[in-house]
Amino acid sequence: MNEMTLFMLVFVTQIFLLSAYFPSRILRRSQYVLENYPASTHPKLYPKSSQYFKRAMTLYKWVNIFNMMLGLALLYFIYTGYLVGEKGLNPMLPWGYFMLQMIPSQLLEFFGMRLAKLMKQQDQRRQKSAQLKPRKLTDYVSAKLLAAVILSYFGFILIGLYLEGFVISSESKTLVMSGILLIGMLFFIGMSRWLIRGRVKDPYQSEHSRHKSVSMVIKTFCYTIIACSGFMLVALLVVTFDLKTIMPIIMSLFLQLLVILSMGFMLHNNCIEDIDFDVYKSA
Amino acid sequence: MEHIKPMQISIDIESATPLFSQLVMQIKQAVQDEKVKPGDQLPSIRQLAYDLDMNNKTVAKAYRLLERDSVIVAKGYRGTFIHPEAQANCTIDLNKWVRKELTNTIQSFRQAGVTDSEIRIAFADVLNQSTGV
Repeated sequence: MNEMTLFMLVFVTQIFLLSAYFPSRILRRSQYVLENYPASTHPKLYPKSSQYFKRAMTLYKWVNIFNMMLGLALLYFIYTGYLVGEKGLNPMLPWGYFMLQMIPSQLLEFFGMRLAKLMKQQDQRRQKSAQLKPRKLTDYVSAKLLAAVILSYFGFILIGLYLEGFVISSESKTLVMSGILLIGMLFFIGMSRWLIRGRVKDPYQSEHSRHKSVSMVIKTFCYTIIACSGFMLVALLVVTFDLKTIMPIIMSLFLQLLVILSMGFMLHNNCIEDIDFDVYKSA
Repeated sequence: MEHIKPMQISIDIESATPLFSQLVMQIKQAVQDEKVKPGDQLPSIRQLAYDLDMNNKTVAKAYRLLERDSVIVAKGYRGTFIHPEAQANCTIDLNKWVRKELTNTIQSFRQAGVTDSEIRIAFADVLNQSTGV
């Protein structure tokens, strides 16, 4: 099996995993919510009628179908050699397509934020409550996981420098990559801080549900950073041992791993039955 | 990771009692009921303001009053903590003390023949002078 065939197999899994499998799980979940917690019994969950909710889900479904068709078209052009240059396939192709595949998720995020804003506007409760305790990062993720994040980062730098013979210069790929990783880490730290201490998005969400969802999001950030450190190391090995032709395969596998670690983790652990929907019932 | 349920406070946004007073009273009550103990850390002003959906300045005012009454102590960037003597200090009601002192003073003015309007004007003048208005 040559590299191109292997890439096509990996790319097929990228298309179906990100544009079919996970979207279908999200749609099934939404359908379950609509059927089991309808607007008639849980009006606070639908600040803009359940039709609006359904329209958003339909849009989500069709954007994913479009992405899947586009992916299959890309696969056809790769197969016919139209997208393959003299140096082989551009490793950024799976990444570019991945960015398109993430658009529906961003749409859902935007839709969720809009719903939360409407919920806040319609919140008529006189009583507002808060916990008399500061929230800290270690309330949401274990110290072990945080240590693993730091270790993976420094582990990457150490192995990277070893591969480069401990020559520290401005052209050192390890230093450039570690800088990119650091920016990513700072971004996730900022996001975590915002999630922990920022304004409550859903005014009705129970404290337990909020704690659980924030905890899971921060855990996915940690797993993402660890995966990125691993990927950077593999990318460095690819450059060092001149294995650039397999880079598109590694890139696609890495992106799929990222989605499994984030979306897959969230879907697997944030069971719908564990979410307190009673808070959305009419008063 | 076990999720321990901490002390919760509740604010009525339509109550006639000002929001900052409700906050002060509830935190003092929590101290008296030993739901929070000396040395316990309190949430930051911003966190509490976000959670209660109120202005930062309202929470800051409540914290300032609690610090004045030595119920809480601010330790710079480390945060705000319950004062070691908070339990005893909670029972000191400065408003009650002010009322008592004013009642005694006004009573002595009246005994001396000063009219209520004269007392009111003098009181307003002194209050304005002391705040520099």
